Amino acid sequence: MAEINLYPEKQRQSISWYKFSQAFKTINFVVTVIFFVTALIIVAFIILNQNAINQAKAEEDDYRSKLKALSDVEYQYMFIKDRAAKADEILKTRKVVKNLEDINSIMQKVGDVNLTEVQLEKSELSITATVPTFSSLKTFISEIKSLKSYQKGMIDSLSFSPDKGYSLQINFQ
Amino acid sequence: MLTVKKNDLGANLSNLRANSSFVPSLYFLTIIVLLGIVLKVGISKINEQKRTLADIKSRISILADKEKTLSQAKNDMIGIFYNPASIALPTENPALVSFSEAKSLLNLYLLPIDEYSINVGGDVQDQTAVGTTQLQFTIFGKMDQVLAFLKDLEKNSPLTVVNKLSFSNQKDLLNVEISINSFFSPFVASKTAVDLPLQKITESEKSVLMDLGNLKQPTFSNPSPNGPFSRENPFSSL
Repeated sequence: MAEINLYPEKQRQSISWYKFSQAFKTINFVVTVIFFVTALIIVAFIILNQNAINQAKAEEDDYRSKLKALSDVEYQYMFIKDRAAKADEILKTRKVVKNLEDINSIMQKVGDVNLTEVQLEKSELSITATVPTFSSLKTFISEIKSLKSYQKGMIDSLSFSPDKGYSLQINFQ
Repeated sequence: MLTVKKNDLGANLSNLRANSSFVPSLYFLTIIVLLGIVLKVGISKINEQKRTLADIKSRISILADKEKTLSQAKNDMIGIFYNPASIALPTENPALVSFSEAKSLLNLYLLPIDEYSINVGGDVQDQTAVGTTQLQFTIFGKMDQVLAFLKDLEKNSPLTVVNKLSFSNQKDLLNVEISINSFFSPFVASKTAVDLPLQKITESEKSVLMDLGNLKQPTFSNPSPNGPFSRENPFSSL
């Protein structure tokens, strides 16, 4: 029987087309494998991460329950922190006794100073004193100038009488 | 008889070739699109999980730090400092305790008190504010006595600050007018979120707490009850 090639020559499947289709099949296979492998890797990552999240959540819940049990301690901790901060501010305002100590030590150094009136506040000091001699007056003023708690001092009045000596009033601010 | 037209045959072959390339192409495109979707969705999900995990871990580190700090504080700091701090700066007005402390010290230093007044500050609602009670009194004494009294007064709890002092000299005796402040401050712990980090007590605050712990605590005495007494049976003689 005679073989009849019914395909027109132009429309016969070329070898290049055949090769291309074979390569395409391979590519499809490879892409399919890549797809499944990628999907598997992603799912594996998601599962692993979910496990890690679950463990972390359990750990977090554990800490929360521990902290709930420590809520009284937390209150006390915040309380003492609050007291410390406020007490610190209060303690910074303590100046008067220190300044009185300083004045007392000046009086002991100078010796014959007679403080007739003293007013002490946090940032102000007013002294009225009598000093019998000029040398004592000089020492007294130089000592009192060394008081570091005040920014400026002003001699408001200074008078002399032969009986009492020097009487002066000094204000510090 | 089989009759095949040349044109029909050509068209069929074209369809066949088209079909043979269309199906794999469609498959390829579908797989590529699916791969894209899987990558996009999967990676975004993984990223979201990573963010969630990072959030949880940061919260855990805060909680762990908080738990560690509080557990340590429970064992050392709270036991040592809580009571002294609450007496040094109480939540209620300490006017009576402060006055009682001052009076006891004046007795101790043999300083007679002449006149006194207590200016009790009003209620303090704001927990950040510090309320003040002012005690004013006049005493007579020598400078050394007065100074020792004042120094001791500031070593006592509740916290007191000598606010103002004036004296005049009368024949070696000082007539001293003293104004002292004692303080109180309410405390309502604001319920901070558990996740927020704990504001830790600083070293300077610790040193202040040590100072408060070193203050002399007021002595409170509990008077013994005056009774009950055993009662006689009124019917015993009958």
